[in-house]
Amino acid sequence: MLENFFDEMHEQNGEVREPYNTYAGWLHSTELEELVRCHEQADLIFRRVGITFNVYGADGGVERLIPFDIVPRIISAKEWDIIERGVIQRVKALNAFLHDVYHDQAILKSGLIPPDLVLTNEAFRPEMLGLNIPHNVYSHISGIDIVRVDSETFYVLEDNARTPSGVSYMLENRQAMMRLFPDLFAKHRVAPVSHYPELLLQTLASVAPRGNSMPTIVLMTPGQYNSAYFEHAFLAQEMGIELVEGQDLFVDEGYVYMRTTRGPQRVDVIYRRIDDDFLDPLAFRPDSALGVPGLLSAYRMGNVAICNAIGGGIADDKAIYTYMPDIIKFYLSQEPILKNVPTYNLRRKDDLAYALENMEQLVVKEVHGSGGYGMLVGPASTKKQVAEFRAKVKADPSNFIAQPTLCLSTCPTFVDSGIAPRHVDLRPFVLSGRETRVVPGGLTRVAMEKGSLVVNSSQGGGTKDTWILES
Amino acid sequence: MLGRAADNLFWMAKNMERIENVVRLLQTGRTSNMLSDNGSAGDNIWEMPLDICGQKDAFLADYGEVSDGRVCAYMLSDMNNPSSVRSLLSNVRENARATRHFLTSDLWDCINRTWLSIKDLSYKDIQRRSIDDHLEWMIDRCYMFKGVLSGSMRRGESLQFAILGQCIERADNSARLLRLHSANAEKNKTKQGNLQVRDYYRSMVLLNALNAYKAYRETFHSSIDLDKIAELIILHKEVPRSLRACVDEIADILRVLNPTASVMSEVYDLQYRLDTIQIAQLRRVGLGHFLLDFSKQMDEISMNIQTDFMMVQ
Repeated sequence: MLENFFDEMHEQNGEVREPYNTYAGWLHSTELEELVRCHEQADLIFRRVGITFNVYGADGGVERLIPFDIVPRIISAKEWDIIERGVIQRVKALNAFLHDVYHDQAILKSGLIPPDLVLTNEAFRPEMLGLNIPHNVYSHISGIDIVRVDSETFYVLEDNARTPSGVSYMLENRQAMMRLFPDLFAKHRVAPVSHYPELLLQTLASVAPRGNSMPTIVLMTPGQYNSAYFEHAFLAQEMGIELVEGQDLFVDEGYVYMRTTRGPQRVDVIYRRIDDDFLDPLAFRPDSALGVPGLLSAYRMGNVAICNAIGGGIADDKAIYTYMPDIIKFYLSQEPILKNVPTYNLRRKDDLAYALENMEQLVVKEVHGSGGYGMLVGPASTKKQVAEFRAKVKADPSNFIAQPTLCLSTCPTFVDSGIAPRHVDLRPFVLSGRETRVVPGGLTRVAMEKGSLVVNSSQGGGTKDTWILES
Repeated sequence: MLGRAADNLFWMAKNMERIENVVRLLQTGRTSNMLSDNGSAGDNIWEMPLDICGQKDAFLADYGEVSDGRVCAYMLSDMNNPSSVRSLLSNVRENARATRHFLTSDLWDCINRTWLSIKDLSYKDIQRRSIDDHLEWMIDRCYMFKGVLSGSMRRGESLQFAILGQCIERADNSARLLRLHSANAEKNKTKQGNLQVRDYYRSMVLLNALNAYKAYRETFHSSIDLDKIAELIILHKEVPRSLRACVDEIADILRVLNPTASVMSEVYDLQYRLDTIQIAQLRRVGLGHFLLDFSKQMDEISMNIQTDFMMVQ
């Protein structure tokens, strides 16, 4: 067992933790060969269904499977209650913040957040100023990354308010587990997750322009070579909506249409899985071949809903993250239910000095980086790597934040040598429209390498099914 | 439905049909190889697959000369050949992947499994396992595709566009094969040798490639003869690969899809010609001419369907 890390299944003294009582018994009485067989079968299921993601490489893109682990991550009803209330609170605050920065900017005037941090941020979109959107919701689908360090403490590691992905794995992992281990599901009261697409559809419909009761909703993808294409197609199919690319849409007289076999059809809601920059070549990047010319103007006229809203990226910026506890208090007058990871904001002099001094012990991240790129994990790096990163930070301190290396919890995981603990995190998906809701579950990501703390799939991380036990 | 999705489904089924046609041709060639000189259809049987898909020059540039092994390798597993089974199947799978939310999971599974089975298969691998078994397996997979397509998909636009692609490819293939065959027959007329026996085996190649031997026997109860084959393949709507059967099916689907008047009138025109023409007449205008005309008209219809429904400019 990895020392000093909180393990989801075992207490320090080796006793089995309560949510795992039944599962641990089953695991102990199951032969290793049986687990190997299940592991191989899982691989086959994923390959056949085509649950793959695309990796770009020298040979022009290969399809890969994300490693799927057959040992579930189990969370008790009590623990889930904290997470659920915490992420809903957080997303409500994020949406209130977004509405504010694009309207009155009260939080900037109050001096709580330095105005330049927001107004000069690349993710801030002046085009959104003064624009009213249904229910004042900007981040309709939010993925909140949570890590656990002990039995009491959950930290929010990151908010994702742009186009968070991974929900298809939450759903497909469950499907696969139910096929592989029907008996285990009979012994546990695992909260179902498969209604997620239904809730997503309701959420999208609830923000249709002018209360259209039968809105035409589409999912907009960059195309089949995007790394998350499987998920786009999967969600479109589950919701029974069209999967469109930019070339399938056009704007005429301020309305958006899609090109169908029966001629143009009006589109009311676009669930886009494409970044702001590429949405509209007339408004943003002129070289974008993925976007729809005129989309922004149709949006600004209120003739189409875009989910998540344009400009939401300012809320999940890593520099804004450090202010999240204040943001929650400012808009909701509540104490944060979930803590932030203690974070050093390197635009502050004291924090910068501390970080430069102690970089070997810290995780340093680029403010705009994502997917595990552009970061330094101090304890896992060589002297040379640390020195190089130190120089980078010195050159542009405000572009970085630093955090202590977290003792991410571990969860038993099936690896070559049998069952061994590996570090995990959790991404629940929060849906906001007329209501704010979350499906009991999420995507558990697991670092498959021993000792590794990086769970991103682009860096070789895997996934697990996440079981929320009903009380 | 989205025009682009219709386009994908159309090409998915069209390419799958083409795979079946390629494989049948290779099978016929393999069978013919086993016969003695008199029974063989001549060396140019291995040129047929290259001629049919218009890849002869590209083949000669890469492989030098025509031989059974080289043509099989080129047509089965060469990714540089856009008409090889492997290239075509890769396209089928890409089309399916782009539109997978329109496919039943059974259909996706069928396509994806076929692709996974051959994607890493080199010609050497195929040889090791037996080429004939591989060809037979491929035909099975094509039948399975058709079965799952018509057996699991909802009777809606997605299915209709797929079947349109299938029928257009099929009609085109039958017309090309028949044209090639009649041209070869003309060329060989003057050559020495036991013509009757050779002609018989050549005709068998054609009937087998079109999977129409049994239909021929049941229809004519008489000896094999080129005019009768032409009649069967052009005019008899009971034969699934006949031009008439394909055009009828295209017309039926288009009536439901309701395209622009010009496409419909083209199809009706073609139907009318097939309705009224006599085989003796065909001989007078020249079979080759007629078939070339037919292929051109099919191309036109195919193009117009794409501009009408699939937003292809």
